[in-house]
Amino acid sequence: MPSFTQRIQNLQQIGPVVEILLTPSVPYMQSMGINIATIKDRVVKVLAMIDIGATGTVISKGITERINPVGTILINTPSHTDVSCYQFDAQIVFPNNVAIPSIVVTEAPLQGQHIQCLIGRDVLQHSVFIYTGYDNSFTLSF
Amino acid sequence: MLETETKTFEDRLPELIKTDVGKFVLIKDDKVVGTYSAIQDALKDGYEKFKGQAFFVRQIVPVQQPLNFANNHLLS
Repeated sequence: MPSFTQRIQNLQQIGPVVEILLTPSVPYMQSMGINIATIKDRVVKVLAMIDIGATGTVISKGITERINPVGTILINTPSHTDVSCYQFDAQIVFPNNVAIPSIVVTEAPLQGQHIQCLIGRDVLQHSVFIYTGYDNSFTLSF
Repeated sequence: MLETETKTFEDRLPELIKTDVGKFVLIKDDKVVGTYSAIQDALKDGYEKFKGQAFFVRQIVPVQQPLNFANNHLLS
């Protein structure tokens, strides 16, 4: 079962964050004839937080400048309702090369923190998420 | 971007619900390109037909549920 474990100093304060790689989705690259082995200029490294309060996965604005959207969706946040946002088809690569080759993510402003991605329940529905508070660690398995 | 496709989806939703509820629709401009059982099939067809241009894929359901986020740093 592919998995990774992160140990974070003061997990309670910082939260379950992990550095991930975002690329255009594998089906997109295959259809466009892009060699997956040579896409270094299209790989974006971002800090993501595992967020069980998020219906879907969100990325910050500006990360996906070089691909076009595949849809729009309305989102609700604590301060806004029914905000229309673009959606993009992306690949997410976690540590240990745990990869999701194609997932539709929503682009929205993430302000006031260094987090550029929220990993939502659309990803978590395929996984086991273990939050081991006393050990300041968490594990995500697929 | 995708304003035309979003309006096309809203206009065509009542008839799509009658025939293709639960499936995923692919729309480009004001045309429904097709409906698909899996979102991956709709995306793949969109990439092959429109070669990197924007297109619109959405599941056909009677009530369009927004995505909900409890994180108060989102859009704050």
